Amino acid sequence: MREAFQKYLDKRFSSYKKSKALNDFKEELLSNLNERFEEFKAEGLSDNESYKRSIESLGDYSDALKTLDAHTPAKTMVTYSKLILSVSALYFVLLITAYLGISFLTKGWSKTWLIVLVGSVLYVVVMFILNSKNALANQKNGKMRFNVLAIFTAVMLLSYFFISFVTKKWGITWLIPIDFFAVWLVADIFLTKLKKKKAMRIRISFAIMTFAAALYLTVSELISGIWSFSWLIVLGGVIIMLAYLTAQYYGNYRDEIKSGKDDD
Amino acid sequence: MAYSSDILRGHTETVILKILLEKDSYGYEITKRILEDSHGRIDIKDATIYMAFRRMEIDGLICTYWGDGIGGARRRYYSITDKGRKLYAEKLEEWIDIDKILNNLIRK
Repeated sequence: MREAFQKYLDKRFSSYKKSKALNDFKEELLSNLNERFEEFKAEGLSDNESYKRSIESLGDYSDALKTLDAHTPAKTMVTYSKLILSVSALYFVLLITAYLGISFLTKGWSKTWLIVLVGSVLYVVVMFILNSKNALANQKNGKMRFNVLAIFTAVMLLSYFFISFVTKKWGITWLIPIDFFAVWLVADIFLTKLKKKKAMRIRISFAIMTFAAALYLTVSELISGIWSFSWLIVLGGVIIMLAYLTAQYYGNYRDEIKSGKDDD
Repeated sequence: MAYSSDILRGHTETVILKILLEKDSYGYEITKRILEDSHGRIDIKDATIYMAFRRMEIDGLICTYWGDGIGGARRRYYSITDKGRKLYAEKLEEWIDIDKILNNLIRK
């Protein structure tokens, strides 16, 4: 009967994050289930009935499971997203820097675009491998986010190379990936409704600033002579971000005051 | 007449501490003890006990170790700490007081 109980526990706990604490908990429940089973059998109950009664004695342990691991699936997903985001941002900044650096040094603009192409394809392939292995991607929003990101990346690469070949302005079309990235950051906020307010705040602030920076660079490059004014876009971004944060904190403050009143 | 184990709410930890004061024990044995001591009236679910164990461990009231179980399997034992002993003494006093108060309020 031990195997039957083990199977049952494995199935019931399959959606929880694997950890030593979870395994220990399962082992603890297993020994209790076995002991109960033996006692029911000793009372004269059938195997089936003893099995059923033993399982019933467990009750609803979902709350107990939450205390086992400080990292609930939701929090781990946020941490994972942050990690992917910063690695991606770092990667693309390095890639573009390498591309621009090599292009300026060698003046080989007609060939150096290969760096961006290879780098981008490599990125998409690695992301795909990472996400298909990662169980978190199987979560409802995880898959959708990844699919949208994949489509965005494909459209971005196509636009970049198409526009670059047509206009031959390799010196500024590097802005296209940056703009796409900024738009994705903003779109991603609507795709992932995070429960934790703090994580959402950080995400939105980062998106606003990146969007402002991308807009600033793009406008400055495309409209000649506007560098003396375009910094206003960054200023605008900072103002919007600070206004957003202020509204958030004010909301929190009011909530806390309200709940304070209720305690009376 | 059986009572819902809800009746223990707020006191589950104290009850567990009392049982552990006598000797180290494990989950199922504690559940059985509660059933016995309540003369079969309170049948507490494993989940409730384990929830209490987790909280009490985090609060430093009990500590745990693996011991031998039946059939060579491991069994998780719990033992009371000094902090647990202290809390039990406080809760016992509190209960004696509450008992008096409720008696006055409820009895004719």
